[in-house]
Amino acid sequence: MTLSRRTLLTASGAGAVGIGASACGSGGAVDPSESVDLDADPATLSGEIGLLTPDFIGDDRLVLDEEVIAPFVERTDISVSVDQVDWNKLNEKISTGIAGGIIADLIMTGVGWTQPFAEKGIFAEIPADFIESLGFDESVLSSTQFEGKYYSLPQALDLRFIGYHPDRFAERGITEPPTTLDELAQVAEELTGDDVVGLDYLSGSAGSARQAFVFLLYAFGGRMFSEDGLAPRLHEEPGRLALQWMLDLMSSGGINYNLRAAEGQPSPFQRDKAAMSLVATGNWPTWKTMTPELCEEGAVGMFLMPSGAGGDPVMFQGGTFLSISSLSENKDAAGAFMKHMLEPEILGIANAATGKVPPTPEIPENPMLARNLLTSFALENLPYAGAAEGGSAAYMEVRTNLDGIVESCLTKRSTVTETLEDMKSLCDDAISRL
Amino acid sequence: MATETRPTTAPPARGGSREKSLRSQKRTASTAIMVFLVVSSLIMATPFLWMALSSIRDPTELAKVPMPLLPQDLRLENYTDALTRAPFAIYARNSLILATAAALLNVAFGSACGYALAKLRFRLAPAIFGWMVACIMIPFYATVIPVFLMVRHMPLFGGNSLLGAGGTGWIDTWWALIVPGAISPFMVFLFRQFYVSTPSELIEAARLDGVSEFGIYTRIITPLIKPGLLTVALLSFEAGWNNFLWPLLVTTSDNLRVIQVGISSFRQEASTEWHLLMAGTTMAAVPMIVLFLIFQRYFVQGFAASGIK
Repeated sequence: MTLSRRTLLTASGAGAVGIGASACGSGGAVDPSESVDLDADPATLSGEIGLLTPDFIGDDRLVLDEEVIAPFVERTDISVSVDQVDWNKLNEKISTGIAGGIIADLIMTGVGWTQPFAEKGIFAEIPADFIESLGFDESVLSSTQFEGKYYSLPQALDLRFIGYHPDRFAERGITEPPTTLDELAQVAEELTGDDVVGLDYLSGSAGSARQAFVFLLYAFGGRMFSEDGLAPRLHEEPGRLALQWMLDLMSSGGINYNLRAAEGQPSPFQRDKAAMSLVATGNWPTWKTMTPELCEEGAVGMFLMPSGAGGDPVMFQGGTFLSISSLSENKDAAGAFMKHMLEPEILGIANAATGKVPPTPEIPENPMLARNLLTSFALENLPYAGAAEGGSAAYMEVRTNLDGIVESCLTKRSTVTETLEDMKSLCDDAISRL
Repeated sequence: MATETRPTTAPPARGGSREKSLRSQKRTASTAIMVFLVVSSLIMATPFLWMALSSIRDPTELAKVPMPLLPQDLRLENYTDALTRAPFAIYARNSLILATAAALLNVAFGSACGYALAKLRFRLAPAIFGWMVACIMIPFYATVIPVFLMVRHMPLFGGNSLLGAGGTGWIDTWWALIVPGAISPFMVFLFRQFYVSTPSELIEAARLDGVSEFGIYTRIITPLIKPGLLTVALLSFEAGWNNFLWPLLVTTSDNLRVIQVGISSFRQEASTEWHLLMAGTTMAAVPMIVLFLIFQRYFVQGFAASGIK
């Protein structure tokens, strides 16, 4: 039998398609529903696990290798390899990993990421009794659940509140920080003038417009989604009040939307061009390098975002959360390493290196953490850290587009009503695709 | 006598003043062009100058408003600090290997494809060329997952079976870094444009002289498009050197990470060390600037010849 060129091409093409299809169709032998045994004795565990982390960049990596991983490797037969990735590319890294069936055993993500990946079955459930044994405050566990089960645990927090220059308060005879949102608006107006803006809330020095909106949404007693994450709530009355509060303060001059710092330049608050500002604990390293005078005791005053609904003040919660991959071939080892990372001493060491806030104040004394005044304030007020993004499995699709919707309201391209409708429609569309 | 005195300098004076005026017009025009070019060059060079100057500034000076134009306190340790923050020697070596491989492979495969599309007569040539041009328009993000799957399921590599299952394929290997970037539709398009402008009579003559088809491609026609070879090599090298996302996705170990990943280590979630970032960026930009300065004549010539400006 003779083979023509066409026959050969057809046969090889069909073969390639067949091999591709069968390869794509055949995954590993891992059972995603297999549970994690956190009671397993680490000394009896062995093998290799991978840690995917967007933190511990630069010098901090040495701390991760030598002070976090090394003690664990010494007392077990488990080796830990680290895959570091930029925060901006973390979603792409996880998504390609999921598509290819290759994902790290232990994954570090952010607030709002847990529900989307838990819904896709990527994160393994973490036993509730272990979480209860840690004694973490309920406020820092709110972002860790999906359908009533736990899928992640906070390893580091980045918390946001309001900072102010005490001398600006003294100049205007203001002796106490505001206790309601109305008072905050009033104080911001009083402090505005002489080339200084009362409140720097939108310059992006401590988050995006989306996060600024979410923070106020919680301050007005709202939330982003219903308990089950299947209906949006951000378009309701607290959402309207949050947007209107920002617009009113922009109209009176208390917030200046155009007040921006060029990338690389210090924020308006650091330059003393804003009397008050939204401040993130993660700002501390930048302050230390660029404006060290702000890091001295008493140089900056701090208070929580007052409530607009007569309740408790609130703190905005960002952070890094640990999850075990459901596709891990070594879940128990990954669980053992997660437990190790959540030990109080290790939490102290790791957070002192990254400049973040441990999820619990119950950690051994750490001089580096003690010197960080933003962290100290945040730790004292941890129970108020209830304002967090997310709460729905559809949130990863909502996240980026929400920024543009809030911006369009702040720049008067759409009214408050239109903005709230846009938010609802964005969330409804994303939820309908679940 | 009057006739003797008549030949005055008047006509030459008229011609001279016209000449003078023409010369002065030319001088004015060339001065204007020169001023325009100098200003344009300065505008183009400003970001690079700012980067270089910021790389030797003290971080507190970067925070000053307004920031002084020239660094007041030269801080060369920014470079040493940057080098100690990440294994830059390994990253630079990896980027060099990746960029060199991309340049060589794109020249080899791209020129072969471009030559075939431009000079070999076969029925599907226009359709394949159209398909290549269409491929240029597909964004990288649209292809990243399919390419990742191909790399991950590569049969018989990384513990994979013949069906590409059971292992990790090319993930976290040099194969994954180099092979997907070995050919690009844009480079094929570029080569095709270069080859189209070469005389087909040379091919006919070479065939009559008994030169093989491969010989015609390598020894007769390809030497005629040297600026094109250099253009593609430089563009591929630059793309390989600046590659960030793909190496980040397909590698997990530090030994295979590239210089752009190293630079990103100066940016954290809530803060950026600008002085170190600028030092790292300056170091990463220098090889590309040097290459461009050496080969700029050919590079510009290449783009001009291919009709892409």
